[in-house]
Amino acid sequence: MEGLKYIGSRILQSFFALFCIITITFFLVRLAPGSPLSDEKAIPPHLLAQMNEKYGLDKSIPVQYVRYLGLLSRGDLGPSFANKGFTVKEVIAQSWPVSAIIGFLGLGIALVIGIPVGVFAASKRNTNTDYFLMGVAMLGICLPTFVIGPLLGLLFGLKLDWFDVAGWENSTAWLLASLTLGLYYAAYIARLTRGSMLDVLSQDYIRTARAKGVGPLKILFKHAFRGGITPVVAYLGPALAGLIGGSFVVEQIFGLPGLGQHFIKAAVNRDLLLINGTVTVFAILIIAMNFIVDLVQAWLDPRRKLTTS
Amino acid sequence: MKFRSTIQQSDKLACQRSEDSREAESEDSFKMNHHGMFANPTGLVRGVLVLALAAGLVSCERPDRVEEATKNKIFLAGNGAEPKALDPHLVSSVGDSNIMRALFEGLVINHPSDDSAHLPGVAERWEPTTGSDYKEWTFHLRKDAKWSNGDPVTARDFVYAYHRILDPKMPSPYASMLYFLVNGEIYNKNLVEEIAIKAAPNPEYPWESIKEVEFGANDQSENNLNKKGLNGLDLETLKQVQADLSTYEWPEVLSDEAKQYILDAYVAFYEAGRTVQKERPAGVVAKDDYTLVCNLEDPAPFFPDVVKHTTWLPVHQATIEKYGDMTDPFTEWQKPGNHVGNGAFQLTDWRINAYVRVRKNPYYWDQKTVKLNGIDFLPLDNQFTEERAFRDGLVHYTYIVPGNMIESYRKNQREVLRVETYAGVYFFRCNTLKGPTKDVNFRRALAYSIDQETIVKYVTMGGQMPAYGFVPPSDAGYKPPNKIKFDPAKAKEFLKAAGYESGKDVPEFTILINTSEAHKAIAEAVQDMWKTHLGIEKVKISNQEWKVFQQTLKDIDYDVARSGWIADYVDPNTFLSLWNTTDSNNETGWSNPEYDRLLKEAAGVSDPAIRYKKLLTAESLLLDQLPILPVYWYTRVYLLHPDVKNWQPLLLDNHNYKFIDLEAADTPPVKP
Repeated sequence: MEGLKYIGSRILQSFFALFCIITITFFLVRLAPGSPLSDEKAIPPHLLAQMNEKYGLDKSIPVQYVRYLGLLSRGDLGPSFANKGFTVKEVIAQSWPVSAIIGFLGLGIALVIGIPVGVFAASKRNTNTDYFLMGVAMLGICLPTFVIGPLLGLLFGLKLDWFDVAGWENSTAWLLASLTLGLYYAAYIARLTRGSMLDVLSQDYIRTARAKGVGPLKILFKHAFRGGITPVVAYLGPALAGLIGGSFVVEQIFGLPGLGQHFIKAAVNRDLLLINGTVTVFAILIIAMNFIVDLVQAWLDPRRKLTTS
Repeated sequence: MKFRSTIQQSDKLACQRSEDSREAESEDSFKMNHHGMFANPTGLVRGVLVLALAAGLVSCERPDRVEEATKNKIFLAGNGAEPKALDPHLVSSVGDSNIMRALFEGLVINHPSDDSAHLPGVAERWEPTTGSDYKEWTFHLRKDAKWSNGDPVTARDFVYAYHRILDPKMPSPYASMLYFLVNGEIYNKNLVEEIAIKAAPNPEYPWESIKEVEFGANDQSENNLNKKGLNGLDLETLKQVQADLSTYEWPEVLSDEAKQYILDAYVAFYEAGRTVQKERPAGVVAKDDYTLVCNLEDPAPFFPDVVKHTTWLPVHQATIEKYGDMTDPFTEWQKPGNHVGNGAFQLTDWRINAYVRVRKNPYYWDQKTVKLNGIDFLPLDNQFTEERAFRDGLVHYTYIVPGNMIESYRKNQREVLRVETYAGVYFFRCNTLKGPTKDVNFRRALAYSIDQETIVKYVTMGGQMPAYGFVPPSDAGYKPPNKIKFDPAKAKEFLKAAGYESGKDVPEFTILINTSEAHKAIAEAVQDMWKTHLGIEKVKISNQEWKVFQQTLKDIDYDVARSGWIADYVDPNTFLSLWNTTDSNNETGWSNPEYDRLLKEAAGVSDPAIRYKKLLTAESLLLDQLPILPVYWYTRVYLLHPDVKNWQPLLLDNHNYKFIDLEAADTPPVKP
């Protein structure tokens, strides 16, 4: 019962947060200088006035806001200014699967590489193997995706010719994109796992287990792993949001038609409604991920209770 | 590996079958990953290797995308950015007009190897009416031209298109290209005052006394009504202003009677059911289904060049109006399945940030000339990605080459690198209204201390030409004056004439650029040259995002701003008309009555020699007053696969895709 109440209040909180995000974005975007209608070929003032009127941009910002909420309540996200003929909804529907796939696969790669490396390094604490692995991980964290991406492209795409370097349909570039995204988070997860595993391994109950003669592998996996993995799970929410949302650079590098590209380009183009739309989608994603992670954490760690306190 | 199965329907790859069997294999390797994950790290490594190997084998077995595409005669073209629209009346960028040229065909079309030559398009032949002094042109349309749905293309389609792009409600960024037509500007800007007041003068309120009123829009104004101008207000709003004159901002000197007189004239005009568009129809008529007559404001011997521009393409009325209002830019007529064009190709597929696919139009009149089966326009807007895609055999043609890679291509792969003259100029705008650049001698000092050759040689490195003037040289017959050559001694004299003993006395000013590494490098070079040659120390560089930058330029709120201009057609007019006092792209505040007069006179002359002479005088004046600081004339630098045939260098880079062919080259380019 306590749990249900907690879930209910969290859902309410989430909706409130979402509403705040939509509102703040709306006003911030409109306060930014520049207009979606300005372009290199200067638009004569009479046309600009026409267009502003047509798109409702001549109204005061609060009026525009009320109108936008009206649109939203009908499930309509409005038209995209920069992609004429497409609605914001269509743009998002076309692009989110791309970001979701490279994001989830990237996360998979990050976990598959990061956790074992972290556990292994923890078990070889303060040996050269440990230093080497953590050194590599540090390097991975420090190298930004716009360096790793082209390097992977050059190595696997051009030198070895295993993957395509760009494109989505009928192309293998998305694997490289996932790898690029995954490696960065793998490095982070490896360090996180190692740290928390060391923490757990120094606990009394591990010493007790060891004293009782339990083998090192069993200690590592049966006794320490579940506790050691908890911080990683807590990190999954923000990580996945970051993977999907932060994929702009990677999508650019590998020419993928994902949501991340729209997220940035809409801001550059001052494509007002598309900015609102993409921000809303990312906000929902991040809020949902945090929510799910909280539930999973409670399940993993019985000491955490589903309470509002 | 399931995305491999989402292969495009039209051009399936030959090795799809073998891929299917690989698919199963790689899925196995995924599973293996999961089993071995915790128990044994080497198992993990092996799993990843198997996965990579499987994927590797798949792509190894496939021929390069371009080889396959060459066989299928599908041209894979990098096209810069994602198109803003597929409606010829809404686009303005170079990449967008490339797609337009594939989907639509105008009266006159581009020659495959000479941008100043003309070939018959929808018009079989054309001529200026004798005695009209190049002010009336008749186009005779071919009878076999068809839209991609089979409808015939008639002169009425062109009339409809020109009325649409000029419609005051149509948000066309490029409508001013049609101001060549009689009444084009009046029609497009809805200049009610021309008819309601100027054409029916009242001796009590002569035009001179009321001409300061904001008839047209003023987007700088605080007042919402003034933003639209009187011409932008409907009858109801006009009546409200009539009732309360203070709701509109008038020139201070104007009496209330004069204001009332103006409003009365406007209200009477609308109440009589009159409109500008009815009374001043744009100068284009369909004499019959296959004869189109254009009447021009001023003589234009180069008119056939003008109508090659994308703004002069026809559109299909029934299609546009099936999906909504004629002037609504957001309707779905531009989408695959709905889109109807009259070009050699028709739209089959469009995915944002991925591709625009066009395939042969079965109704196109000149089928036998068209060699390609289709074109995929790829919006690879990251130039490094595009270059890698070219090396990986994913595109036949790149939109651009990163500047720092040109040298390496020149050394190692000369056969794919193209460096061509391009009718465009890179320059800096100067604020002539305020700041140090208000002084003409100071502007001269700045101009003569820019070492253009050094910039071209060591900064841009793309084979550009130092710009000694504004209009780029071309074969069209106009010989630019070439006045601005680097001369530090002369520059110092001008600095003295501007009242500065040394560069140290010059107050701080800023070079404004839009955010880009390339622009930054040039600005830094110029900054350094001004320091070295003039001793000016307080020059800052500031950058703004594109949209903000555009707004700053429009507001003339800068000192010196980076700019560029690409020709719309092959004639000096496309460059020189920018500096007309009233041109919306002037953006320097520079206004010179003598210059405006020369341009107007030149427009009234039909003999090219005399015309060029007048334009030359105008450009000399421009280069004497220098509201701009020329830097270099553009080149187009790009990569082209040897499979592409009939691709010739063009001054405007407007390639006519119906002449392009693909044929496997004997020696494919060596992979690095």
